[in-house]
Amino acid sequence: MSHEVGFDSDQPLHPKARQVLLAAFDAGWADPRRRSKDAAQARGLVQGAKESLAAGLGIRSDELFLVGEGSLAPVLALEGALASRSGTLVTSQVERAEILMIAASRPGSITISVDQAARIDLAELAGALESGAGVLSLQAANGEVGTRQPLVEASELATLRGVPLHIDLGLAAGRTKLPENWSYLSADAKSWAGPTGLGIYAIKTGARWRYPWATTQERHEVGSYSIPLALAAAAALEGWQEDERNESERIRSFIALIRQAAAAVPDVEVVGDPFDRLSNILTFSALYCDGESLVEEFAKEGFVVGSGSACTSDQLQPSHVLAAMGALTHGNVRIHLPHFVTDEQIQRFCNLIPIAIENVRKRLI
Amino acid sequence: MDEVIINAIGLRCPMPIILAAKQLPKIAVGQSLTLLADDPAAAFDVPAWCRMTGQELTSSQGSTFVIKKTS
Repeated sequence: MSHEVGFDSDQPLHPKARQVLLAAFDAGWADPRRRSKDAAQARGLVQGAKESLAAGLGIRSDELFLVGEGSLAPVLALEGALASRSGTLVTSQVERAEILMIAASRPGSITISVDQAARIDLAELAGALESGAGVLSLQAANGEVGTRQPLVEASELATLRGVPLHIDLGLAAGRTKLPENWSYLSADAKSWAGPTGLGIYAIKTGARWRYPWATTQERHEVGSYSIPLALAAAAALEGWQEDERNESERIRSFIALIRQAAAAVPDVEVVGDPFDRLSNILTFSALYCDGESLVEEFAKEGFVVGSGSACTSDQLQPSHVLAAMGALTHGNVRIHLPHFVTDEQIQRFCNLIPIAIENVRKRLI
Repeated sequence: MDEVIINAIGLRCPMPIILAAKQLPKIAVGQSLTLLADDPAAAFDVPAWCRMTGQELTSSQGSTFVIKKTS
């Protein structure tokens, strides 16, 4: 069998980040909050990393904060926004689980619905913002099906009603033009081939925010985080964005080929917006197949793919995103193409799609 | 004509849908079949299957789905 090809959302550390990481463990070991010479050097390194990350994300470096766990960034950004004001949370049905749990724990929260492409309903959003909304939290794009959210329109609606906007950048981080009037951002360095264990959040100058957890002093950050990881995240973002500039058109054309191959199979539905989307993601559902067997069929040929079907999750529940879209939740396959994927790999994968689906259907029907 | 009932209680998706799809050619256009399915995914997948195959979901209550064959 050939070498495994990763078409799921997990990606290895960017080579530029690996170089930086090794050097950084030598230079960045001190606690930057102390007063020693080494601490001053560590402070300089953090400052450099933050400036580089901020430049890559298109924000100011004094607006950017770090936390030593990727999935905590959206939680901190949003909880701090909510703690600073009264009013309810308005968000959408297709946000990440952590955001939906915050919404569920706050009485009066509104989760607006999405259309068949997973795009939020702007008319419903306008209505929801009228009824005592405190904060609006939206993803930049959906990581499961790739659809981008109408951030510009949503931010205009929110600004008109004086409601601050939290944008959860997710997999769109580093490749999204921010609307002018955002107030809070969150991102995970993993999404641009950075290291595991570094979350990034931003609070726009002038936006109210209060540290949401127990503390004895005013603060913006939880405490310490790994300086080498911050440097590696910054190097990865720079390298990844350069790759993205060079590769995105090629990846887009590959996704079009896979879309064609999947749509040509009877009783298969490709889900998500066909145009306004993250260029490297494709999701489809095949009737009369279970997601787990499909994932195994692809794995047998060396391709690692994801699935939102219930049988591939720990719970019995299928993907809340597919459910909210009204899409078929069984037989679901999710593909994230990495940079530098080859023509040969794409061709092999396209040929495999009808075979994999037929193999599973033969066993079940 | 007798009522067609498919009991898929306890079966995981996609099996309830597969059983319903197998039954569909055996009934006439305009006739309905009742599908009993308690898998949590059925609540989403039965409507999606009807939409994808052009059938009509005339009612859905808890684990009981009534599907009218339209083509």
